Amino acid sequence: MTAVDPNFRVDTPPAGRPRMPRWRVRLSTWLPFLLPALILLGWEAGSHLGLISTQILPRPSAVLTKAWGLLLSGELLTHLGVSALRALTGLAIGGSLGFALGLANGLSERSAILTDTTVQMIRNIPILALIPLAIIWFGVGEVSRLFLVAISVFFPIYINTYHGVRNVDPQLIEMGRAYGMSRRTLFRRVSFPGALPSIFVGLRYALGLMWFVLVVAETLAAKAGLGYMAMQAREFMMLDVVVLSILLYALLGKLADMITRALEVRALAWNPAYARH
Amino acid sequence: MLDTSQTGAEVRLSGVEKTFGTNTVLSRLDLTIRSGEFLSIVGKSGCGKSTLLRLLTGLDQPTRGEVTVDGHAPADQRGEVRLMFQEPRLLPWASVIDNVAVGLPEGGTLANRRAQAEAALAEVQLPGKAQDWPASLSGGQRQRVALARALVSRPRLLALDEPLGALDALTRLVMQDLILQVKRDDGFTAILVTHDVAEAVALSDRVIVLDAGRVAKEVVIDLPHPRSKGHPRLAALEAEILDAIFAKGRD
Repeated sequence: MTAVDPNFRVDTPPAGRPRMPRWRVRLSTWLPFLLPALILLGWEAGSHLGLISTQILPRPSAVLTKAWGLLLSGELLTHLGVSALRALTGLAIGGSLGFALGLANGLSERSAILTDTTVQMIRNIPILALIPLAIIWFGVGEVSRLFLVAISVFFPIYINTYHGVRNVDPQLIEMGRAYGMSRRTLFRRVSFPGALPSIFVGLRYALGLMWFVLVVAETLAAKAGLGYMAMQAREFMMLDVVVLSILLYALLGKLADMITRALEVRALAWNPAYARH
Repeated sequence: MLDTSQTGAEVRLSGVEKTFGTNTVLSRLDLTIRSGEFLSIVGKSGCGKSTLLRLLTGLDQPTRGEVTVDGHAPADQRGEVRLMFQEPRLLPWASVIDNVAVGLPEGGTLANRRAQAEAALAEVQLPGKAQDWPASLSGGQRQRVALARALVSRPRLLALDEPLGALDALTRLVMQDLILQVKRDDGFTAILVTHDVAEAVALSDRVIVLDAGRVAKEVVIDLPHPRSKGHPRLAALEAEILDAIFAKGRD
């Protein structure tokens, strides 16, 4: 399959990690990108052979050329920056609120009784149904878009934090009490690390929703951002820019996921289920 | 690290009663455990053994009566009274050494805590595993870490709630020797709750049989350590205790 690296050598893996020869590590890093690369190649070839009309779908090379042009003019980075800033601000606001309430409800029965039902009711409203309300409340501006992103990431982070804290092994909590841990220490040493795998699930889910809502929010009368760039391009039938913005969303989503995974592997190294990826 | 002048705690239960709703688990129990004694409590499931341990370690309060460890309520003695569970109950996200350090009272310098945890790990004969995750250890090794965690604060009373129940027979024998050895070195008072009468007879100075919340039988094991497994006196005592456990069921 692959030629064995002449410097082939098995490094001693860090504790808790499965042994994997170097060439396999390298292969497993690049193999996931094989399929996307093949799709792009097929698409390019199809365009050249006239199987795919460039009126319907521009060639990848054309999209790339366009991307290069936009990058040189600085336009691309501006839109990317605006979108990323929006996404991260919304994530920071909604995520921290969801995290805080999830912790509060996981740790305090009273807080959960008081607020959980309400949150569950609001959660069942499709977020996009809130768009008209957001526009009336905050106008067609930045605040509306941040509101939508924040509220969309709030729920997955809230629910997974809440359940994560709730599902920490009660035997460990009892052990902590028997060993004289204070409430603070019990949280820091037992409840929080125990909830962390679940919190990460919430974060990854939230990231997916974040991009989804951001696209919709940006196609609504924004003056910058990837969604705006796509809408502008549609007006002028610039198909390559439309495709480019779609591809950029895919890349950004993958990037966010990769960062979360890297964090997961670091934070959850103790868990045999995570040590591998 | 080892303070040889330190002795085991004396435990007194006077008129202790514990009820859960209408269910009486322990009824008017009087018991004194001498300083440095190794006492085993045996009995059928639901006889109140584990409840008794929870009272001794301050995890639960008696409905009536009084439990004292050296004249104090057990809850005031944190660090002096330690409980070892049937499951290791190690924090999976903490390294072995950090798990052992959980047993130390809060405070103290990091270097000092580390040194104490390392000494406890050496005591349970688990070298070279300090930085490993609990998930990479065997069942017996995990229970050794749990024992180190219980010992690291140099308790004067160690309560053992069937700590070897989940281990295979061979590991169990090795762990029994280890418990006897640390008991001899540290001089704490030990209270062992177990299903295994042979284990109780092999380890302890005195065995009490608990039945329906009362002491049904008390047997003193007056044999020196190390006790050979096949000793006829041990077998006779074991039979006597088993008879007492099943006495009620026969009539």
